[in-house]
Amino acid sequence: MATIAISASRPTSIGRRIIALIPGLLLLAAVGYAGKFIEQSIAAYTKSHHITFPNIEYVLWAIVLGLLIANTTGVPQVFQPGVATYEFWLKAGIVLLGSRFLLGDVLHLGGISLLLVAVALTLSLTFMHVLGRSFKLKPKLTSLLAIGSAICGVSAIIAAKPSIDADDEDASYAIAAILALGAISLFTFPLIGHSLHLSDKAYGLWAGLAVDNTAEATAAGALYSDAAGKVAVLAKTTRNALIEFVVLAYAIYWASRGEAQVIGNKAAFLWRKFPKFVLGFLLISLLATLGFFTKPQLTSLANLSRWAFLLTFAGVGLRTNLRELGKQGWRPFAVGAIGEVFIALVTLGLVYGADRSLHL
Amino acid sequence: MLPQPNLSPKAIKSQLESEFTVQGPTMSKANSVASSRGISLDVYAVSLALVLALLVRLNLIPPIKW
Repeated sequence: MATIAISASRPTSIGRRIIALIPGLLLLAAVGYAGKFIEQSIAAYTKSHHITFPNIEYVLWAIVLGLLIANTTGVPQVFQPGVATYEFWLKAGIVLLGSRFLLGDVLHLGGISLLLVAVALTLSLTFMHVLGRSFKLKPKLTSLLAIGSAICGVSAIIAAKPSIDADDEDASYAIAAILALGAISLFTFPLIGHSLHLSDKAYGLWAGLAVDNTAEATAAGALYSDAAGKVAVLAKTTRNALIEFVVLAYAIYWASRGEAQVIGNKAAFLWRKFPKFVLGFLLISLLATLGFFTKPQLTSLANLSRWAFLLTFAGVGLRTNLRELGKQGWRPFAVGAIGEVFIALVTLGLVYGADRSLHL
Repeated sequence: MLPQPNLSPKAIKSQLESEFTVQGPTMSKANSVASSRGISLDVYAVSLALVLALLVRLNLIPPIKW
């Protein structure tokens, strides 16, 4: 997931910046809505003709349409500012999704997630470092890949890059590897989940723990089922909440070796790196638990969240350039791929174990 | 203003330089620039979501359908 920025690199007025977003936003809406339209049309056709056909969620159609556009005609420059806002919609959607969780659910599933994340995190970081050393990757590139695959993809890499004083080139390779693997997981995870007959909760937890980028984890969950999508977001949000601790640990490690700036105020550092949308998610969840919203209002909030995700999924497809991903060096990709398979297997084992012992 | 869709190392490098970080002698400044922008995105997204939640709560927007 590439991170967007409402950038101030050039002195343009706020009005002009907002106007520049409009074409891309319309494209996101058009692609996302086309995905929804295709899903509904197929469902209506198969129902009226009494054909048994599995329901293919709009998520997949939106991503595929986006991929087709991005990799055939390409996305013209005029659309790019708006298309790049997809992470903004993702975060807004996650906050609104809080309305669908009672705080008790969050604490229960979030607690299990936290436990599983801690185990998976330790194993992932260790394995990625061993792998990076075996493939003779540069140590900081290995650190970035480890952070990206263990925590939360591109956001984690971007958060860690200045903190460990890594090269731009290393960050680029790590981001490309994580994005490529995220795209692959979108299509493989639901297939594996179905073949193993995983429950919605178990699959959602697995997707949230194993898929690196928040957008891809959300999409991988939603591709399985609505309930799985909810759990995937919760598990992924739990994982995101740990980003600042891992980045701090790496920053201290590289600073101790004299290869990054020493961290002064650690509390301020933790707060700066903390993903604030997690707090928004918890706040909405708390309000829903306290009965602040009526049932129809909760439905409206849940639907708003789905509309926000619709824009996100269109953006995931539109921002994935398969040709460029293919051009990246093979070694970071190989390390990332082997690491991802390892993490996917470990987390699958953990989820299986948790499902049996803790009755998810 | 915005990141390139191109995912080549060169393109991502330019994206990182222009929007997230400016690595170099002023590391602490670079850090704060990157962080403040990261925070902005989160804060804007949370703000929008909370405003929408409030509008829904006060029935100032019609029921949202899917």
